[in-house]
Amino acid sequence: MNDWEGARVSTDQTPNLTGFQRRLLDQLAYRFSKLQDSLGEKVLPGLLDLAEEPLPEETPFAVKLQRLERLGVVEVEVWRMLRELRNQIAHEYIDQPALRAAAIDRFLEGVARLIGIWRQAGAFVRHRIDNDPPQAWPKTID
Amino acid sequence: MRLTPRQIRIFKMTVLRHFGENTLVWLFGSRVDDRRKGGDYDFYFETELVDPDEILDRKLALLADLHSTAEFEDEKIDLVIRPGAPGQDLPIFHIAKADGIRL
Repeated sequence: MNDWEGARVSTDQTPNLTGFQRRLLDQLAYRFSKLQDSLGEKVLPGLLDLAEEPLPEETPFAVKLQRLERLGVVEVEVWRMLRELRNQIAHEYIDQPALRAAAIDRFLEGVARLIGIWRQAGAFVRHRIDNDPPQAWPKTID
Repeated sequence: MRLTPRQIRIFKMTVLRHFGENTLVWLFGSRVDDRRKGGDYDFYFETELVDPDEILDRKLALLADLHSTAEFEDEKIDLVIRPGAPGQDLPIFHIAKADGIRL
């Protein structure tokens, strides 16, 4: 991950991305979407089931997110921004190379932030294991 | 125009909050046509902002806010933004204004 940090995509570079670089960005964007879907649909709601006061299953995701923010797993604003970011990387910004460079740059930062949320989720589960024997956990976790 | 009064109000309010009171806003594309059905929301606006990073960050925040309203939840929204920097002129800006409806 550190290879991306600090690297700045310049406006001059974006019209000249090679086919390989484009494919790599597409692949990153695809995996980014998959990881975010997995976090949003399964992992984050699952963490709430491990929390001390589980929310009813039908609770809107926005409310679950707020609870997760209080638990220190994810910042609501960051999560919402990352959802928009993944669509922006597919956006071509034809003839607007400065905006395109900014979008690629933010996206590469976003990759690190999304993985940060993933790590927080792992840390949360570890904390629960340390403080609560797994026998006491819900019977099934989808 | 296929935008509800409530959608117009929410869109304008949200754009002005993120991009400033002087932002001018147009709807263009298929939502202008009353005879068509469904489709993406295409908006065009002009901002006084110049810095591409700042424009992108505000754009992301704007889209996140719109998508968290019942009116735009799960809708595909395309924003064409004309930055305030000199020399920014593209055919799409003229098309959006000529064929679009000022909100």
